[in-house]
Parts: sequence; C-alpha cells; structure tokens
Amino acid sequence: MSSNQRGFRQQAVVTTSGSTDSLTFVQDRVFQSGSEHDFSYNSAVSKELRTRLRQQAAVAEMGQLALEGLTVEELLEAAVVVLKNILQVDFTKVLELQPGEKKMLLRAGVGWNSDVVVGKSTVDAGKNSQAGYTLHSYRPVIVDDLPNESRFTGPKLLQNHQVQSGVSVIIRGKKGAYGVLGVHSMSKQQFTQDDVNFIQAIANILAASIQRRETEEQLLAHQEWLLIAQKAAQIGTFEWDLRTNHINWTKEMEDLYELPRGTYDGTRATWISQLHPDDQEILTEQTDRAFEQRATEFFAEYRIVTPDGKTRWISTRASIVYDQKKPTIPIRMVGVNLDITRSKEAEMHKDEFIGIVSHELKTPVTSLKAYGQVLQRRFSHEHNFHAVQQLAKMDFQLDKLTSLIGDLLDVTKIEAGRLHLHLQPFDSKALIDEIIEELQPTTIQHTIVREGRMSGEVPCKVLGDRERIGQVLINFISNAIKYSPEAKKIVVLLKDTQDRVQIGVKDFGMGVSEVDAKRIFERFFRAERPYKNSFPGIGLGLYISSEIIQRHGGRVWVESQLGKGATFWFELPIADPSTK
Amino acid sequence: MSQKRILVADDDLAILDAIKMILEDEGFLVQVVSNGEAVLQLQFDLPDLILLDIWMSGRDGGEICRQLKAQNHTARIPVIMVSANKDTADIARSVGAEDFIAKPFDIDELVGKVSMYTQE
Repeated sequence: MSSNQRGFRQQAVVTTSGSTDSLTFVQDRVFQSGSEHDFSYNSAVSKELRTRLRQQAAVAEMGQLALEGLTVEELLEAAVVVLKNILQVDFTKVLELQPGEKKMLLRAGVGWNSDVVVGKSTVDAGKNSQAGYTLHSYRPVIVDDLPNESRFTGPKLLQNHQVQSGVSVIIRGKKGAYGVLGVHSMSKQQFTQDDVNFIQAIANILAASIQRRETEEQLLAHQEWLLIAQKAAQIGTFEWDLRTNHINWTKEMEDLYELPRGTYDGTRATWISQLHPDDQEILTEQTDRAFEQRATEFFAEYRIVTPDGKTRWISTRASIVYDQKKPTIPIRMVGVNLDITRSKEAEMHKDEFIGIVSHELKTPVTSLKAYGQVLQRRFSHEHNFHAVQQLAKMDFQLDKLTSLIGDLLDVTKIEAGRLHLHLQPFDSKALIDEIIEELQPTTIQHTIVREGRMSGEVPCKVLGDRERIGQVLINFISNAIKYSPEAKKIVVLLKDTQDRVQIGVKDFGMGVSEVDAKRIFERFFRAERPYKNSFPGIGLGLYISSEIIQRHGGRVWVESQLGKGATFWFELPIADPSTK
Repeated sequence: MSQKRILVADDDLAILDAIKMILEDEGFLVQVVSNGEAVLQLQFDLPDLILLDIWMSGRDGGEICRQLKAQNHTARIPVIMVSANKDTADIARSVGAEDFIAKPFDIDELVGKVSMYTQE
C-alpha cells in the first residue's frame, strides 16, 4: 500500500488493494526512539491512544447494546450516533441493499438535511456511488477527496451535502451483504486504518445482530408454518423422555384427545387410559417390543375414547432415539398423532361391504350345493351313476367358487389386521394325513404321499390355528396339482429342528424361476408367460398362505429350478420344545 | 322310534327349502321359519333340535340362541348354528350353541350332526 505518514496520523488508505498493518502502528511509534520530535511525538501518541481507547469503549458499548436485546432498528440508530460522536464527522448512515440489488435504502442516519428521510431515501447501488463501489469491491473504501475521486462519481446524496471525505464499510448479511455503513465529512478529514477497523467493528456488531434477527424470523416463520400445518391437519406432537418418563404434549394433542388444554399430566398411564380398553394392552406391548428390537421408527393405529365417550382412530408415527453409549437404552421418542377416524371409517365400511358381499355370494352357493347334493343322493338311490358323476363335478366347481369367495374375505381381513388365529397345539403329522385324504380324490393323475424323518416317534405338535394351517397345506397341494399336470407324484415333506417344524410340498412340474420365487408370495402375483394364461386363478392363495404363516411367527419360502419342479415350504414353532 | 322334529331358522328361502328337502329325505320332520322372533315364540310343541342361522336379518341369531338357552323350557333343545363366516364358530360357542356348521356345507356333515344331537 502507499502510505505516506504525516505527523502522528497515518495517511488515509485511498486504494482498495492490500491492507494496512495498522494494528502495529501505535506500537511502532511508541518504541521508536531517538527522534528529534520527542515532545510532540509523545503528546501525539497519547492522543492517539486516547482515541483508540474511546473507540474501543464505543465498540464494547455497542456490543453490550446488541446483547441487551435492542432491536436492529434501535441498534442502527445507536451506531450512527456513536460513530458521528467518536469520529467527529458531519454525517453517518446505514444503507440496506434492496431486493434486486439496484437501490439501497437509508435505514438510519444523522447529520443529513431534512429532505433526506430514513426509510424512504435511497442511494444507487451501482459501482458509480461510493456505497455501491464498496458493495462490489467487498472491502472498506476510504475517500480523501470526493470531488476528485477517480473510482466513482457519486452519489448525489453526498454531492448535495458537499461531502469531501469519508469511509464506507460492508455490513454482512446471512447471504451476501446486508448493506453499507458510511461516515462522511464536509472537510478533508483523514481516516486511519484504525478508524476503518473501528467502523468495521461497529458494522460487524450490526451484521451479527441483523443475522440473528433474520435467523429468528426464519425460525418463527417455520414454527408458524408448522403450527398452521399441524392445526390444519389436526396433528398433535409429543415428546417422551424415557429417562424421566415424562411426556410433553402440544396443545393440539390435547385437542385431539379432547382434553382441556393444559390438563395432560405428562404420564404414560394417563395417555394409555385415554385409549380404547381393547387397544391399551396392544399399544403398550407394541411400544415395548419396538424398544426391545431397537426400532428407530414407530408406527401404530389405535382407538381412543374422548371424555364424552366418542371413539376416534389415531395414527402415531414416531422416531426413537437411543443412548449413544448404550445403544440398547431408548432415551427419547418423538412423534406425531393424527386423527384418521374418517379414513378408518371408510375402510371399515369397505370391509363391511366385502363381508356382506361374500356372505351374500355364499348364500346362493349354499343352496346350490345343497340341491346338487340332494339330487346326487336321489340319483344314487336310483343307480343313475352318470348323473351322480356330473353332479359331483358341479359340486367340485361350487367348492372352487366358495374358496375364491373365502380368499376375497381373507384378504380383506388381512388388510384390516383382523385375521384372528385360534392358537392351540396340534399334531402336524395327523393334519397332513387328513388333508392328503381330502385332496387325493381331486386328482386322478397324482399320488400324494407323505415323507419325512422325525427325530422321535412322539407326534409332532406345533402351535397354531389348525384350520388356517390346513388352509395353507390345501393351497400348497392344490397348486402342486395345478402346476404339475404331467407329473405323477406330489410329496409332502415333514422335518423338525430344535424348536421348529418344517413342512414342504414338493412337485415335479414346471418349477418357479429365480425372479418369480422372490415375488411369488406377493398379493395378486401371477407367474409370467408362457404360463400366465394357461392356469386360472386370482393370485391370492400364496399371499394369504404367507400371511397366515407369518402371523404364526413362521416363514414361507420356495426352493425351485425352472423346469425341475418346486418345493414350497413353511415353518412353524413347536408347541412345547421341552416335551418333544 | 318316533320322528325327530327339527326347526330350521334362516332368512334365505332357498336354503330353508334345500335343508328341508335333505332332512326330510333322512326321515326328519322339518319346520322352517324365516325370522328369529318365531323361534323365541315357541311355547308348546318344542322341536328336538334347532338349526339357527347366525346372520339372520332383524334379530341376531347369536342373541336368539342366548335367549333360548336362558329360558327354562327351551334351554335343553340342542342348537346348531349355521353361518357363512367361519369366524362365527366362536360366537356360536360363546352363546351356548351345541355345534356349528359353516356355509356352504356338505349334506353328510349336516345330516351327521343333526343325527348325532337327536339320538336318544
């Protein structure tokens, strides 16, 4: 930089390139010795020190004001006054860059004529004004002689006030510049780098304060959006501190549960007591299980009963946070509650409708079947076996229709979570034999046999719903019959492990491709061509089977190679492993 | 052996007709009613067994069974509940019915159960 020292004052920095190592200026002067101007030098130094001390005090004062929570407007006011007094300049101002970055608006100022109005007067933000130039160069600009300034010509505001010299610095915003802080004099005042540092320090305090306000405004706006959204969607938010076992509810939560605001006592017991009696235990267990399994997400749908006795459906979605050092210990559960009564009611109407439809469909099938069987008996007495055979075929078709209606009803129950199981220990070997006996007459082509090594002679008891497990077996064996039209044999396999029983149905048909094997238990799945159209069905049987087994805590899978047959397996827990 | 008398209650006339035909073929004396109230109005001439549809329109079949079992003069009549919904076997058990048959049924099952509960 080009600094030309005159007396004790450092020459003003007139160029914008480089910086002045001005912090050491005072020190340098103090430690220089042997000067012929000792006396004047000393008094100059002490004056310099006094100036710096006053400036430092002013910076501290401004910082204090900012901390005390003055509004940005009040702080800007204070800044322009402090700067004018300390630097003894004629004018000070804060300009805020306007959207579009063409203009800067006067936000605070002192010393200006009455036609200059805070909140109204503007300055051009282009490079041709001192403030605009400051913005673009993004560093302090010192002007010694404005009328002869080469970098810019204006602005008019300064020209109209016969400004000669001055300093302008950037006030930083959250994104880019907030604006410019300027001090100006009608005289040719010389500003040192220390003065510039002082002005910049004040500008930085303003910047920090402005940025904080912007953050607060954004936060408030976000909170407001959240509140509006929560209110509109009737969402309640809760936070459960699992260490203190205290639960915080927003007032929307109390609104959802129809409790008077501010009356929820923050305990789990009170929350649970608001639930429908049938759902209290289920939800408690579900929550405990989520913690045990270290789940990070929680989802539940349950009923609550409002104080005036209305039942409402609530959906909870929450996140669970675990201790960082002990990841088995949940410490916080934060989530939302949503009123889903209307959609639940619609869903229940749909279920009810399907229930009625399937009942209505079964009624004529029942009488058809009964009439057919009456006729079968009568023809049998008359020894008309041809007619008996035809009626038997009709009866078989009616059974297929019944099973399709049953599938539709089962899917509805599964979707509604209402597939109830009656669990009891039963002998799996006996069940297999029973089902084989039932299905063998439905195929002339195949012989269905049971094979299996059991570790003991004791009947292998599994814990399950006998009828539903029978349904799965019927489904697997019927599929085996259907998809192995050329084969002669179907094998039902029975294996046991330490605590589980595995039952497989092996056919020697077309098999399942690796791709299909992954999706075969999905709802409405049907094998791709060339088989797609050759075999009828609505693709619900395996889906229902897999749901039944999963609800038993078991699993289903298929082992197969295309063209080489398939074995469909399921696995169930043994009723009481100790008695095996 | 005197003819056993069966009361069949169902709101579907075709089913009533078919069951009547089946049971008469087996030598039973069959009386049919298409609403539940008629079952409760039984005073004299009590049947040996009642086949009761669970989903009868109007009064719920389960409720009728409960009442039959609560009245002294009808409590001992065996009741077999008939329903298109397999899950209602639980309801049948809870209201005191002797047995349950799911619709659609096989003649053999119907005749077998009716015979079993009407044996002396």
